[in-house]
Amino acid sequence: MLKRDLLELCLLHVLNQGDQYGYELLRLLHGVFPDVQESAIYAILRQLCREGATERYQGETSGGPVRKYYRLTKEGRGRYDALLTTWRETRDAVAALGIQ
Amino acid sequence: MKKDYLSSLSRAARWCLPPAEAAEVLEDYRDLIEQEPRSEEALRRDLGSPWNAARQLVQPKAYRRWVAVFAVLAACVLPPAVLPLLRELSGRAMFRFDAYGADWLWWFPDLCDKVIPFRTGLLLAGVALALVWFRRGKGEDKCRTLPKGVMPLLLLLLMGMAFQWVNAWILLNEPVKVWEWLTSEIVEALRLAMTLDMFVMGVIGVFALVKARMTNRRWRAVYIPALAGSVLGMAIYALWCYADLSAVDTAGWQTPILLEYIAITVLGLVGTGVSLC
Repeated sequence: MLKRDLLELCLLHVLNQGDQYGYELLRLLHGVFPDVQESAIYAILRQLCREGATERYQGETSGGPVRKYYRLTKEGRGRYDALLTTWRETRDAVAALGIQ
Repeated sequence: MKKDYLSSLSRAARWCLPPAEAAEVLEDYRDLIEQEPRSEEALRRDLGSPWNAARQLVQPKAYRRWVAVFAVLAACVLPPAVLPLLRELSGRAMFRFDAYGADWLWWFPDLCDKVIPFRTGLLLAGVALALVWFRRGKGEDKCRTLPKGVMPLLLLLLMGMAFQWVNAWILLNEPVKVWEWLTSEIVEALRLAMTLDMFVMGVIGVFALVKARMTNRRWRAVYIPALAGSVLGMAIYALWCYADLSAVDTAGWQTPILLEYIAITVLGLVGTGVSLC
């Protein structure tokens, strides 16, 4: 499993828990993976949108500027499940070698 | 500082991405940057360099297509603009210099005469591709206002074309008499001025091409006359350099030449008119 897939899985996982404001999503992932630039995370997020795994919409805010939120689509949920399965298999395979 | 980052990102995104996507990306980044005050250094550390950020968003197939279109459009306008000037400057005494104990003279291979037969093809390909590639997108509003700078450059190009027509008139109007009347210095100066005129047109053409991609597709209205001007110049230059003057006694020898010049000019003006609409 490549790091890119891992980042994709993390993005989908966060979105699976609920809709997210784009900025918060990027900052959250950047906080977890400080060596990955926000532009790289944003590029993955855009690609997920392009491929129909996520979609964005403009959220309501009281007084402030309109915020763009992201949510998981049905297709994205299927992709999340597939990536999660791959991740578990990889983790188990690595653990079988004694790597913790 | 943030403005610097955003303006660099704007240039990069508009070059790498289609216009609608670039606008969307810039809006997202503006939002991202305005949420939290960060220094330019912090922005570059967290977001990466603007060009790197834009490159990560590129869809390889679409970008390769754009680069190919840019290469073709630039290849249509640059050879007629640059080759005659290089030919003119080649071998001139002003480029003679001593180095490594030898007498050097800058010389450029004569590619010009190889490109001249393809001049009409270059014009047709360039005009057609520019009109198709920079056409109005679906859902794009009909904008009546032209981008700033288009009109002055258009005027400059029209003046350049007028100068080329003056040269054409000199050549087509009893050339033998003209040759007797003009001194060789004047002829040389006129020819050099015309090649410089074509070179400037070529530079303007490439500039307009970049602007059409990065700011407003209506800059194609500058690219097309620049291309037509360069090609017209090359046609006149070809007559000047390679013409067989033994045919000038035949009545009406100018007609086919004149028709070609008129066709190039009309095509350029029509293309410009369509681009302005």
